[in-house]
Amino acid sequence: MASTDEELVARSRGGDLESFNQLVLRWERPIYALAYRVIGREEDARDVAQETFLRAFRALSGFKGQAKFSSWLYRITLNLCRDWIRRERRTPVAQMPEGLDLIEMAGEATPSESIEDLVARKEIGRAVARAMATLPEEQRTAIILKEYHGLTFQEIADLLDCPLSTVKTRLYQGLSVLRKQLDRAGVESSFGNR
Amino acid sequence: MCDKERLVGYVYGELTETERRAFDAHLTSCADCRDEAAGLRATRAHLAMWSPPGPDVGFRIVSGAAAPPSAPPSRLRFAPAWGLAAAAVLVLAAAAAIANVEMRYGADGLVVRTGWGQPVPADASAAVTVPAATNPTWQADLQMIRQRLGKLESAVARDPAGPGMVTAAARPAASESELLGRLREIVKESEARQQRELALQMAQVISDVDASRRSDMLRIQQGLMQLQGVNDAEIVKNREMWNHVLRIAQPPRDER
Repeated sequence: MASTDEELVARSRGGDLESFNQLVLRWERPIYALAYRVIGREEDARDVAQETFLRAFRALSGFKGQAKFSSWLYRITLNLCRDWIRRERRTPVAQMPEGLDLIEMAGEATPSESIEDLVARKEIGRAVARAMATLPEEQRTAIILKEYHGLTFQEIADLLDCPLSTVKTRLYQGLSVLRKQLDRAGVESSFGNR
Repeated sequence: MCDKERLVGYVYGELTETERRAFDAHLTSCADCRDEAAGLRATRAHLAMWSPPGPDVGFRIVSGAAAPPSAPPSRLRFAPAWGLAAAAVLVLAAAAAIANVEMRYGADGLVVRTGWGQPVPADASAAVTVPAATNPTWQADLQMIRQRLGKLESAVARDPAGPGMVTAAARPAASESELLGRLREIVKESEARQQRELALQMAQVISDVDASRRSDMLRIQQGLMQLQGVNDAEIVKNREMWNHVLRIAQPPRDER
């Protein structure tokens, strides 16, 4: 049976490097995905993810388990992303590969998904990335944490150090803007209900 | 004015059971909230289609990671290429100076010879034959030194009592100390010349090696580009064929 995050953290704090590497293995993809969606650049997102684990490792003795380990990692990642945005003084870029390759995409298709649906899904994904890049950082972050990491309103509020009502407002405003942007981009609202 | 926070809670399923029932009841009478809730749900469905590229992550913390926090990110830990090249040239120059390196670059390629490992010559004349054979300027200097030494030796041989007793006819024009001083100067000049020659030779070798490397890299690059062109054409052809096969393998929409 796999160890819990808390068990691995306790062993890591006792000097067990392998336990920490198990935590890295468990969380590297979500952390990379978070960084990528916030800053929009593959290479920089990879650097942020790497730096997140390095900082977590160095600060492990200060982590007392008052929050979930994943929340702690998310906080470090978001701080690094914020630093990146300030340093680069730019908004995220919707960095999507040009053109669609049916062969590569065929491997990503679900068994019941046709090639046409797969192409449509990818195109909507691009439109979403572009629309997300136009949102203010606070709204984008709230939506990413809610939609892609499944955090509750309260967890987001704790992570972002803001009131619960602020989180709900950011989500509502962000979703409303995205809805308009996607409508304008001609994304069919019926697609998701097929 | 409807409660938007409650609407968001409803869309994300974060209302209590009582709140949800109350909002359901509200939706039956409020067309705006009904439309908005449906629109936001559709937007959420679209958001689910944005997936990040498959990351090439695979991070691992190694024991060296416990270094001070001031250490820069790994991407910056590598020294720039020009720095490494400069360091390499310095090391080469220092090693050459210590090892008494002789380098030549000619038709037979790069020849490097060091003074290390060579047997110590039996006498002084043997010791000077190697550089003398390779450099005519040194040969002339050494020949002059040898002649002067010969004169000194013959003078001493004629009057074993000492230089002070050398007869007027045999006595050289300059005194012995002047002669030794001149000898030291000549040796010093010769050494300085040797150093200059070595520096020039090294600069020439580095320049030749660099030119050769550039030319080789250009040839390799041209070869690779040709190869890549052929491969790309093949890949494009194969992919087009597979895409065509996949398209015709799809059943028509009205048959599904």
